[in-house]
Amino acid sequence: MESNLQSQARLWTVVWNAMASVYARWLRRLVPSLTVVVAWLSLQSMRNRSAASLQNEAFVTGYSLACICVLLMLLGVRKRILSPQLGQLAICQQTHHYLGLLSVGAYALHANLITTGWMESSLAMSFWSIALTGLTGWYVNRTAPRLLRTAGAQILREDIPERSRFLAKQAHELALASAGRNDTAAMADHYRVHVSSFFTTRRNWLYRISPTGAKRRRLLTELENIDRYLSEEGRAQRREMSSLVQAKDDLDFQSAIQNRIRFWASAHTWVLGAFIVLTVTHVILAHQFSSSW
Amino acid sequence: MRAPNNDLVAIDRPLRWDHPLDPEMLKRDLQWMLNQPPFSEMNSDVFPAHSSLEGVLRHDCRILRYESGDIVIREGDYGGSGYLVLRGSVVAFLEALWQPRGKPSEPNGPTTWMDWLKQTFKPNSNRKPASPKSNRREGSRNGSQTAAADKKRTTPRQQVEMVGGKSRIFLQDISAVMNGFQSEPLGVGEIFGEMAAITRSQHRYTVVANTPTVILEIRWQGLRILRRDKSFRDYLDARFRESSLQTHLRETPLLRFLDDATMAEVIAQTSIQSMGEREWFADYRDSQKLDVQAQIAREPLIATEGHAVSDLILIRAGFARLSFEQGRGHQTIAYLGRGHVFGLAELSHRFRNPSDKPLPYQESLRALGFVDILRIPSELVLTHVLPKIRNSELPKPITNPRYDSGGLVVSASLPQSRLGTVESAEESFAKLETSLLEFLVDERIINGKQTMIVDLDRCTGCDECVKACASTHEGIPRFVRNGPQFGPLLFAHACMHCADPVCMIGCPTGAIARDQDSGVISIDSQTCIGCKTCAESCPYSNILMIQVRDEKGRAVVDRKTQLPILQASKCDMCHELKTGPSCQNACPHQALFRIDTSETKPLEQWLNRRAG
Repeated sequence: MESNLQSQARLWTVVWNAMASVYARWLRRLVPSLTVVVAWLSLQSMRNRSAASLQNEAFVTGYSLACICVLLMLLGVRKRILSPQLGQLAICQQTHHYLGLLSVGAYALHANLITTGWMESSLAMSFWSIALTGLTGWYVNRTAPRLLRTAGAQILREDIPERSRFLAKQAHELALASAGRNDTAAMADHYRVHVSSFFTTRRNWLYRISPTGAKRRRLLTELENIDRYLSEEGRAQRREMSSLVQAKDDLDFQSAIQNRIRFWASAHTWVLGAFIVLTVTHVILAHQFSSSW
Repeated sequence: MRAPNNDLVAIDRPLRWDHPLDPEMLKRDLQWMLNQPPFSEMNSDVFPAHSSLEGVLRHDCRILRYESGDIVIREGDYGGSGYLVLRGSVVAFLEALWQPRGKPSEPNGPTTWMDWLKQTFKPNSNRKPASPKSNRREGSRNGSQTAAADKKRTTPRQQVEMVGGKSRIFLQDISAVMNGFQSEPLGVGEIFGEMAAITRSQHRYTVVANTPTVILEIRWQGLRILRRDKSFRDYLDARFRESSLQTHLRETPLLRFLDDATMAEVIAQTSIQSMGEREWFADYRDSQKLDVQAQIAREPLIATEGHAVSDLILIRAGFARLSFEQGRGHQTIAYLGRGHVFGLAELSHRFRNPSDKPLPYQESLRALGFVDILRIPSELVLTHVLPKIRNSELPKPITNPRYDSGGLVVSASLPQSRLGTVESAEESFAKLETSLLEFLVDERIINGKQTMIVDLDRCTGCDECVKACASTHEGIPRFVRNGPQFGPLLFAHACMHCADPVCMIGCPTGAIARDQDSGVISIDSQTCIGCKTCAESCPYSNILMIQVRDEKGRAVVDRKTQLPILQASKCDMCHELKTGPSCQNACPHQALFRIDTSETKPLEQWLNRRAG
């Protein structure tokens, strides 16, 4: 009886813990999302009130947007100030994501999504570019780690060129070992014509943007097809060559994905420069030519 | 970050005794010490010319003077020195005077904004009062006596006073404290604290000066040299065995209900055994080249599955692998560390079912590196210990034994965790998947108290952690974001601040040492002479040798040989920062964590959080 009660209590504890875990996970996302919505609604109400009192509502939304942008830029400052006293960078990063969402809403209130005139359009384009690169960077950061894991053990980016050279050397030595003998020479010939460039040259730009396993599959199939010309020893060498091809492809994949992460992070920063210049110009012009605040 | 400079600065290569423990030691004091036992009785011929007895006393020792009530060592502090009473007397408290202290700095700070809010607005969240259960566990071994004694005694208060510009920490009314707590006096010529220094672990007792006392502190490096004298070595070994056996048995929760007479009998009949080498890293490096099963076969067997249960085995120090035969190999089901017990489930089974034939050991226990074990004869456990333990505190009954008195039971299921301390098995041993357990044991990651784990499902390789580390440590990062991987977990090459820091064994100057309070192991750049001993001893290659540069960024070289002066460098958990390790703070993806892997529970909890 007692053990029955104990097992029931244990079951309830497990169920409760699972529910608490799911609830906490949702709460973690729900509370800041609601905060963003409330902030956006407040901004809209401020804009309406300003319009009702015949003030220039664009200044309200514009300066709010500017403030949000300044807060967003503080993440870059925080990353450069590597002081642990400023708290965990992860918290700043999360805040940056939610503020980014709010900035899009604030922008929609300020510029009504469609803009006219070359100056305004350039500013709009730079804003949307930042938003797009930020969003893509966020997506890449979420998906890239799992992609990297599919290509074997993690390799430091700076180690990739050296490892590539090492693999190329190993493949070359394997091909040399198989050359000069009738029962294994087919692999050396195949290597010289079809495989050596795979080890010694960089992958094309298309692969570096969107890596696929097509070339690896083709090379591995071609290598398997020469088995009929090889002795047992030659086949063992061929299998070794196949594993080197696989390893090189994994390295290229790691390199492409790691570069992708860095590219989107950098792109986000590059567009920021243009955005700041255009924003400052926009503010000056707005004050210059506006009849009232 | 400091820009490298191609100029060179020539200096004399630093030597072992450049920084004596007491730079102001007087020649008169040195002569006096040489005339005192045990030094006067030592054979000075056994010491080599470069490490003479006089040299050891001059450079590795210092004379400390205490007033009555002064605290010499505190239970829970990490030790690096032995203490010899030269004049006066001290008392060692065999019971805990205070509740065990928590970690001074919690390395895992808030990782989400929710955590941050919780920590910010929850006052004193780190100062939870100890639960009644933990109070009971940490109290005296004698439950009934404790309850009575607790009414009479109060927790002694530590007072701090400034005397001659130095602070002294002391206990008010030492005689009252001695009346309330079990203690043992130590007089002239007796040594204490050496156990923690030798095993690089925490002190197990508090020692307080009883009268005005003069004590000689001998740092571990000096103790090691003094051990060359046979009589001193024998004395230390005997004391180590006696003291460690007594202390460990008195601290074992399983034995807390025994009265003094029974405890004395248990102490008399218990044997202490050391398995493996203290410098296990060399053997480990060799065995890493072998096949896994060959590695396991090399591990010294403490107990064999299927053999009769002759003893209850208590792990005093080190780690042991718990495994059972599976096919042609051995499957690991847990690793046991300090405080864990082996054989309790089998003995409990025998105690509960006295009419049945006794069950043999259900699993094998093997030493991983160096292990100290205590063996309590099983008859003694059955007659004196188990009758006093609550049934609920004993391990679960063995319903489906793998071995019975007839040998291997073919239909038996795989062993479950039914080991444990006096706590239930579920509390002591978390359920980690076998392959992860085997990985942790094979890579000896079980030694880590602050293991850096990178979650590869989150890490984008942005290197913010490395940049933060470099920025905190004058431009040179102290870890490599690479290392052994298990699925999505990367165990980075960063110092793990091991439970058994073998890197400290050979350091000739004591430059690499454990912080008394936090347990963080760090290297003092002032005393490190760049001998590479620690880097070569670290089984995980987590200590790097770096070229010394001056404040202008110029490389420092040896004046005679023009060769670069090197220094050991490793993670110090950014112990000078109150906010914890900067690498962890700088990770924007919450991918980097510090976890105590010497126990399975913290890792299991983290894995559950990660999955949930």
